[in-house]
Amino acid sequence: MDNNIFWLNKLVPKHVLLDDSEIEKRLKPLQIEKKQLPKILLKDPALKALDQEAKPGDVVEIHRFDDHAGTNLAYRLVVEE
Amino acid sequence: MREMIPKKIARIDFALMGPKEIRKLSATKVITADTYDDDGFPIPMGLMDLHMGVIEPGLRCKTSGRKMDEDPGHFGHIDLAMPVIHAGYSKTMKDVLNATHPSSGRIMLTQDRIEHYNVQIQRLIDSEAGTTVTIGGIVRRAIREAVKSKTCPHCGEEKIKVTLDKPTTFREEGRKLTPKEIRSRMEKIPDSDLLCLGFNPKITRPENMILTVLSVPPVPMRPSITLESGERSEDDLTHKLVDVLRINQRLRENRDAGAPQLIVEDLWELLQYHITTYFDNQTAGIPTARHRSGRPLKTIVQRLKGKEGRFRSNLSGKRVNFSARTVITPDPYLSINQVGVPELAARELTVPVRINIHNLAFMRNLIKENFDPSDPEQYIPGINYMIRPDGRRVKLTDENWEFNHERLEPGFIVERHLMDGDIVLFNRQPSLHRMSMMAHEVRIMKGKTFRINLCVCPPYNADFDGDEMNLHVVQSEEARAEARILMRVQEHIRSPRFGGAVIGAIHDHITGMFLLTHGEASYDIDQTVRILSRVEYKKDLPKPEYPKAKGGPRWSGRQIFSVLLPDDMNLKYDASVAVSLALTPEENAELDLTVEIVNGQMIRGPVDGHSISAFKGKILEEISRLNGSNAARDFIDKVTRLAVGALMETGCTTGIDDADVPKEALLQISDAQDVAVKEVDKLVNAYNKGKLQPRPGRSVEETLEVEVMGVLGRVRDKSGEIAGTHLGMDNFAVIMARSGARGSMLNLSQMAGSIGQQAVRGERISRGYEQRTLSHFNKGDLGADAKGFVRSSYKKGLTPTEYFFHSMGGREGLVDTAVRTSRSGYMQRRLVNALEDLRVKYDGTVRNTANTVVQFKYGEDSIDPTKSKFGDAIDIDRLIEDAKGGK
Ligand SMILES: [Mg+2]
Ligand SMILES: [Zn+2]
Repeated sequence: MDNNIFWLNKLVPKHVLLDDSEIEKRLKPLQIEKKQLPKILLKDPALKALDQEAKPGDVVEIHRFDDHAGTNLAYRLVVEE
Repeated sequence: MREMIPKKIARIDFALMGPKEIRKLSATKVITADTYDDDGFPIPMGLMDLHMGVIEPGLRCKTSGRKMDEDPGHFGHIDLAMPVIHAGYSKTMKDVLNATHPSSGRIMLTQDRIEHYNVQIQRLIDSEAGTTVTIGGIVRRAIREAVKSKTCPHCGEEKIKVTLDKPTTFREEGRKLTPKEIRSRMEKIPDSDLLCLGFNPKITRPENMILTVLSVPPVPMRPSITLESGERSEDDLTHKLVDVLRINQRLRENRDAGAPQLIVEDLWELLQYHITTYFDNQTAGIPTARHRSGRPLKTIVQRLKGKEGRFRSNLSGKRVNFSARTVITPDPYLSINQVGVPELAARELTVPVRINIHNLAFMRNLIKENFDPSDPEQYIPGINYMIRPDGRRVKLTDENWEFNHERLEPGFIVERHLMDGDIVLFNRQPSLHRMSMMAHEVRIMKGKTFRINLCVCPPYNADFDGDEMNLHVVQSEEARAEARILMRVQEHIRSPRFGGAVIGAIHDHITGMFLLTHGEASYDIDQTVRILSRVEYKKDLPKPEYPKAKGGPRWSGRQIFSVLLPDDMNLKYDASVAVSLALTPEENAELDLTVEIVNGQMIRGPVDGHSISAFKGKILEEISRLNGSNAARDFIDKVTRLAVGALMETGCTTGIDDADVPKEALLQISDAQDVAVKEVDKLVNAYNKGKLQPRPGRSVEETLEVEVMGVLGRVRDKSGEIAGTHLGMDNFAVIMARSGARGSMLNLSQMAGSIGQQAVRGERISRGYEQRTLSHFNKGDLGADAKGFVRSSYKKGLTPTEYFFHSMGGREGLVDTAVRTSRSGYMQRRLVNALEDLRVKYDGTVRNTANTVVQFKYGEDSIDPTKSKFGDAIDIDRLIEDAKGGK
């Protein structure tokens, strides 16, 4: 099993804040811009649990685990509202 | 349409038009009620004025200069002699009148409250910019508050209540208010008070609810038609406008001539009536306007409203061409990919075909055969129209066919009747999933019904109790290719929902295959050849399993079935009959109820539901997943035919005697029931004496119910068992139930043994009279019979009380399904609307139309469930088997 999956609780997937170069690296193969990502609200509790404080415009990487499909990476753009 | 410049609509305001706007929009003023002059030419400034558009070929619109079908027309207007109320707004008008004070024109709220509401409304508008804004709720609150205040906070005067006599009469203390008065009251309301009343003063004002100018719709919206007699018949709207114009004219003359007040008022009232009915001829409280023939006139609201109205009938429910609908009937000799189309329908439905050097001779022959048939009995597709390269359509007739048949050459397009092999879409409503509309290949047939293979009934949810289905003929080469590749039935054998087959053998196919292959069933050479001939078996007969049998060599049913199996198939699993007997694996092996296939040869076991049915069939699953859709289609088609062949040899019938059990068994059952009922009585006694021990977490009452249900459930099972021992595999009803074709052993034991406890809401029946279910029982009777236990069997028949309880349980089932379908239908609709434009892109992401990512990997595992094994990308068990060397 992926050790990433235990974060706060097994029902909460691990969220990781990406820096600009990482964002670039992740979005390039998808051929999309930041604004085309799914969104996450700034007030989302998962963001409060990050080491650094997230701000609108940041991108978080979410490590999701599912018995059937295994580990999966998703990306979300932090928005205020 | 010419010069179409794309424009983006920033927003739409729905508002009332005032007289200024109506005049600005108007192409002409209408003053005379006459329509056409003696030469049939539209009278200027009449209702058919050429400025409002043209409905006759040859004439040109005087406003835009366009010809008949190019011009949607232009509005005109009628200046009303006196103002008239728009009945559709009378409720709003009443609110506005009662919320404002007539002398000052102010809304009867303090300045503070006005501000308060203004802020609220403005905030709502700003926050929902870009969406549809509904300020109705706040406005309603503001108006209610204003109506409640008895005195005006601005001038301190008292307010007199205005009442509304529907539809258009306003009264103040019994005195009638004229539209003119109302209009002047509304004119007085300052712009600053309007927001609270729900009006945006920048766009409209309340006085626009009273008409001084009436907009006249364009002529093409109300065309007159010419009858065969040469007489003109006008549209209902035109008739109504004529009435309005006439009365308007008389009203103006009378008023100008200083006629008595009474006469003027009567005419004014009449004008009001005509305008009210012009908008809505079903306004409550006034008589409907009628045509001379007595038919009610269809005015504006009637055109739009209801099932036959513009919205539901024309905008939401569009009709298509090249489609047919008729009753469906079954035909096991059709492939699942085919649909039988009656000749009658085939001659109406056409496919456009472009002529080239390859099909020229063929098409010429079709034309010839159609007008001069060499065999009138045979169906030969015909050609209704040919379209010349210059776009002209030529209808082929008895007179011109010989001439046109010569002229046909590459570049022409002909509209050919349907023929064998054409691809069409076939659909049954309700279309709940993608398998509700699949592509079939046409087979032209005699008769008047569409014919389908029975295996495609489950995806369409069709049966033959009068079901009708729709057929659509696709018209373009691309559509045909798409239909063939993506929509053909064989591409839908495996479901995208769970990764198994949804199309497979059903009912008789399963019974037939079971009868063919069970036990030691064997067939002599005649039978074997007869059965195999149905699947067009062209190879040599296999070596007979019983070469030395009496009366010549015999082939086993398993050998015959093995003809359909791929050579590399190796499988081992329990048959349906085995599972339902609930035996141990050893017992199964002994009874030969395990199926084993080695290198495409069936070694043991019967073919039943667990082999060939949809959802459960192992062989079907294996073929459809590993050998592709063509092989799966072929397998299903041949199973159908083989099953019919087998049934023709063995026969299969069921009747009431299949539910026969010996007297002793019935006695045993009734003895068991007596014991159980006594046990229930004991429990009830214990309960009545307060001696029943409650179970953990339950009350005494609940405990009693649970215990009683348990006892009665057990006796039902027991009577089923007793009956079951006498229902052996020599009984066709049992064969159908055990092989998984239709029905269950429970159904049979209810027919032969006992029906058992009836329940409503999962509990024994307890409703009806006070403390009892029916007046046949004592109050407080908690025994088995009094609470819905049915001892009888369906075959024996129910006692009156049993029958009543059974109906109660049955009713619940019906209600449940009715409620469930409507609710789940709406749930599905919402889901579909939310997901319909998502798609999987070539990079594996799921995106919407705005190209934003919804899922980074389709299903988070990029697996097409259709190609999976019940959701799993790989069949790990099988991989291990293969790696171990298998066989
Ligand atoms: Mg039906
Ligand atoms: Zn025009």
